[in-house]
Amino acid sequence: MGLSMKRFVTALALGFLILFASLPCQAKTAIAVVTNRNSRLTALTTAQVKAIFLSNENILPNGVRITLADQEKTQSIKLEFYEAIAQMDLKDVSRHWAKIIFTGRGMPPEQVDGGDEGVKSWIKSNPNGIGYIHADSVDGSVKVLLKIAP
Amino acid sequence: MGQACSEKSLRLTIILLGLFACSLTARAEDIQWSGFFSTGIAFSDQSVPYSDNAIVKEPNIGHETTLGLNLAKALSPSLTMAAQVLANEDNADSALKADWAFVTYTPIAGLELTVGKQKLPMWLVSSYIDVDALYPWAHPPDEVYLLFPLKTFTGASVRYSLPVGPTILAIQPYGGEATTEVAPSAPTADSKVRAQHMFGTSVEWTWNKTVARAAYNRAMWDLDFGDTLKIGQRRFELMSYGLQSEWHHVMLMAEYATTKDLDDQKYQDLSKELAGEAVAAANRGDKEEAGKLITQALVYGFHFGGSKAYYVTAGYQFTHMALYLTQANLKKTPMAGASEDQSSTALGVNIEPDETSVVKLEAKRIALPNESRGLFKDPTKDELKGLNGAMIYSVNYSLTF
Repeated sequence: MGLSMKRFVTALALGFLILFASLPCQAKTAIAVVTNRNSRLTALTTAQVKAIFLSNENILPNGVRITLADQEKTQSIKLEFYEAIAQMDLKDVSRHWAKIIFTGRGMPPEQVDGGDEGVKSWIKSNPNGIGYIHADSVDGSVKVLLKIAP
Repeated sequence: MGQACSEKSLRLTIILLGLFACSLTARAEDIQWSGFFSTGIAFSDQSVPYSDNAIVKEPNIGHETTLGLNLAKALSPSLTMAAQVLANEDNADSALKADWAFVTYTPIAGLELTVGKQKLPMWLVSSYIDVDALYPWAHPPDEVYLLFPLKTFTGASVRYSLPVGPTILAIQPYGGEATTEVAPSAPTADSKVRAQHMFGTSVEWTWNKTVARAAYNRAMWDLDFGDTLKIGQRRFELMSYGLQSEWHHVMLMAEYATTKDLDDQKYQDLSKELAGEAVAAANRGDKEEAGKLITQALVYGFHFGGSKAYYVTAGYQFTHMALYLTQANLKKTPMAGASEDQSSTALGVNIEPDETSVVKLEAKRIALPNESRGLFKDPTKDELKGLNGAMIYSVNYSLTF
């Protein structure tokens, strides 16, 4: 009986070990706000990123007209991004845009599917497009305007 | 003549801008559209109709049902057009009616020039007041929101947003004119109220999830309804102040408003003059003339300004539910012995099954001081004697799409 209890505890411990080992890594990674590599833009502050992603402004103070790409709400990066720049969850973001839409004062950023690859592909075809992707997805096709630490 | 000319010029400008906007329209698929819908019932424990929604003991679904569609199109990187059509019982035949439609030009960052029919920026929720899903109450607090019967105006506005550190300051001066129907279910040529030479401004300061705002509106109100009721032309002012803040799960909203009739003294003097003439007519034995004069004297004697109102709403947001408590108060005495003072306390529970829809349950206790009719509609003397308040219950479902 004592032996079987030991085996049971060992099996339980092993089971938990396997379970934890098999769980996908949930650690947050840094987010990069990116634009087309040929864009005149060089850098943005967090405040500027917040302002352009939460308003209907499509002109930056330096006169550059921009277009925005948002990630799908099924992508965890979307929640992380809005929490980081504006301390807003997706419900807050949705209500925020509803108020702007029903006032006739703007439209939300275009939602691009395909996650980071989809955003990079969209940015390639939009010279003044701005989007956000995981920092470890950054490659030579995009220019980083701001890196947001996890 | 000059006034007619300026009105014509304004309309012509709007039509030309509209035509210009339409000429740039390329494909229907470029138009972005969205919409909202709300329906529900409201009923009272009193038979005297309450407020503009005429809430009585029998639940009425018609007054609580609204369908709205919004269209928006980017005509160029700096020019957009947007419109909202509404179907509700305010429209005599419940047909779709253009609520607002305007063209916005954004020449530089932070500056928007808008021409067309627009929402009046008077309150915290003015710009989306028809979209029930976006504010906490089943009905916006009547004490404050019924102080000003206009929701839209036709004209031009400029909105300038200026970043100030981590905050944004937005200033929106505007000018134009407005018309509202006082008898929506049976409109006639004489049942419209026109507010002309309107101008005003709103100043809004936003810091994270806190918004503080102040708004001013002034217009010449034409309150002559054909030959039957002549109230005169009055310069009317409204000032409002508002605060909305959210932190963690707690929400606070508050607004305070005052009204002023700049021609009040003039009409009080006219009223006294006519009362004197009525006495003279009565002394001459001309009862018919005396009756007409005394009626007109009474009408001129109405005070259209001098009202004060506020509400404070505190709420707590759970994951899929929110609780709200609203306290509101109105001080309004249009004429001696005809007070419309009232206060109310509303408790609401909002159930939010998803991001786009909400079910609102609200119970509101209205209290009337002695002899006040509050916002009840035309109670008889007998009804008024027994009227010291009411309970109003509302159930409302609204969604955006």
